[in-house]
Amino acid sequence: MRNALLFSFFLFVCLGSCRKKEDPKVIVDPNGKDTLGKVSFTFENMAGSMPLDTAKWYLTENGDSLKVNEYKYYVTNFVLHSGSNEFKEWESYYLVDHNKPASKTFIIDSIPHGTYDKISFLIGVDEKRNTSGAQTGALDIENNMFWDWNSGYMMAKLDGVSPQALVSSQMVSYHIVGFKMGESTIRKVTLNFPAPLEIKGTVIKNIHLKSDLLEWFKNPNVVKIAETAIIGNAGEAAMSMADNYADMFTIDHID
Amino acid sequence: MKPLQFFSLLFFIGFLFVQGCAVDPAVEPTKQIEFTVPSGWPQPQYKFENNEVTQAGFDLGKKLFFDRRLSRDNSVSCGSCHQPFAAFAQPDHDFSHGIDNRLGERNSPGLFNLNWHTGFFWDGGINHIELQPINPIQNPVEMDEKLDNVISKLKNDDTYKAMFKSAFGDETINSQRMLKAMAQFMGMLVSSNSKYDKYVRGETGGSMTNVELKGLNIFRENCASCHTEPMFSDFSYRNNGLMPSSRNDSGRGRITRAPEDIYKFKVPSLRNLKYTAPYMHDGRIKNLEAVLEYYATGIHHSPTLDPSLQNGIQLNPQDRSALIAFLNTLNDEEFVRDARFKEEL
Repeated sequence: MRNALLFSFFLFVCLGSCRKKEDPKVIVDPNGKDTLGKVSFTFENMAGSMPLDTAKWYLTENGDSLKVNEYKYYVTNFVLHSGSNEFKEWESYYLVDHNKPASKTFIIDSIPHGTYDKISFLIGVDEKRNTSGAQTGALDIENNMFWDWNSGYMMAKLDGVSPQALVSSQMVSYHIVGFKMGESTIRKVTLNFPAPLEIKGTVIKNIHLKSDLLEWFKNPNVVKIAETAIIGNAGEAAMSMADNYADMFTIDHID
Repeated sequence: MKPLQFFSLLFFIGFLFVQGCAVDPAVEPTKQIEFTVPSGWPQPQYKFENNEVTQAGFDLGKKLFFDRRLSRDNSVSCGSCHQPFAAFAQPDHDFSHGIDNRLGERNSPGLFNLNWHTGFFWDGGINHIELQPINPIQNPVEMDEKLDNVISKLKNDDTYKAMFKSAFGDETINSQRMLKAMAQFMGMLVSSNSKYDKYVRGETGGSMTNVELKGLNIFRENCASCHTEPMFSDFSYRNNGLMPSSRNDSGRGRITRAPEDIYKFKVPSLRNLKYTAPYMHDGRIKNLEAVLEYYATGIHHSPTLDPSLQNGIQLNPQDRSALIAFLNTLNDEEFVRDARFKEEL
């Protein structure tokens, strides 16, 4: 009996140490894995009330015409809030790339069962990952969202054309960078769920978010393409743009 | 079951579990390489966090460093402009030649003691050693290649597949692994065995002549406030009075966009000067005598000129030759001859 107990203990230690290394996402939960659930996210990019189409022209609120070639943004550091409690995803970095449909849907797992009332996340990459060397996944340099001459990730990127752009190519190019104090373009988004979101069992709820690209050009700052067709450095212009798109996300529905 | 048998079984099972925890049981555990901070030196900025140096990782980093396939037309490697016998600088070039004979814009610096640097490139634009290689690979006047193309080339090479597996446990090849391996190689390039180092540590081979010791004192009085021992740089950014050339390179100012940083460049280490001429960020000065003449008579005054250089550095001819004698004790012959760092041919 004593031997059997010793053996069980030994087994437990071995198993425990293995699991910890394999899966750092697992939250220590005294009740075990049965109380962890998942939620899925779908991002739909919009231009006003229309789904964004890279073949179509859109009008900004300032009357500028715009056609979009490339549209990418980081959404990171997801937190689900339940009253004063919160669940933070451990490794929470996603790059939504309009030209890659698969990038617009992802699942967050290991969420403790419960009822959640809102969600928050960052648009952009936090300072720590801007200063910690070579990364992988959504933060891989190969995603072309990293500056190789002045360290830092582009938080969001919008490339297109506009007849209002006062450059010969009519190019519009907003590469929003800046993670340091005083020039940060990292913006926090908090969105209340339309109704409390219950996570339980094996049911996976899907949160549909919309992001309106035309928000880049308005509120609180008016961005006229004739005045600002290119943003390629950290500073005031980049921060103004980040202030504008900080409120471009809405929760459309949950199913 | 007798207790002895039971414990044998226990150990056997334990052994199985330990094996199960390993990254890949089929791969021999790779030999770790210890990174030691030379005695008396400060702690480095980069301590290989999340990137433990192994023989396999170092070898992979070295192969990448000398591999011309990192350039667009497979003609230029990192080692083309950073040559081991020149303390990883390129001798006799103010600017190095990139692919298609394009000329670079700044002098190729020596590479050593990089783990102590707080920023990379002459302007410190890059904040981490693992992120340093991306720019020269992608810069149109250097290797003019795209990082994702480099990764594709590596993925099609069986030797690399095997080497990535040895270094990281499986055959996955991605930019993070490539950059971490390169950081292992570059970070291990420690130069700490000059005559000066041996003198400071009281080792054989470290006996300085009277002229060299006189030069050391002159150095400490006139140069050490920026070229701080033992790195011989404080890694700050300063304007040392060079007249801007037609390129009008604003240096650190381009990175911070601050007017007070215009024309500032990283203080270079004074180690291994014998191998790394010409000098300055644009390689405009050919030899040490000319450098000292420059500091005596050539300083160009501008709003961001370093306060310590307002009156230049005035030394008589005897003091100048003593100072140069001392600077020559900072050449590390063991480093430039180190077989570990040579290109495998």
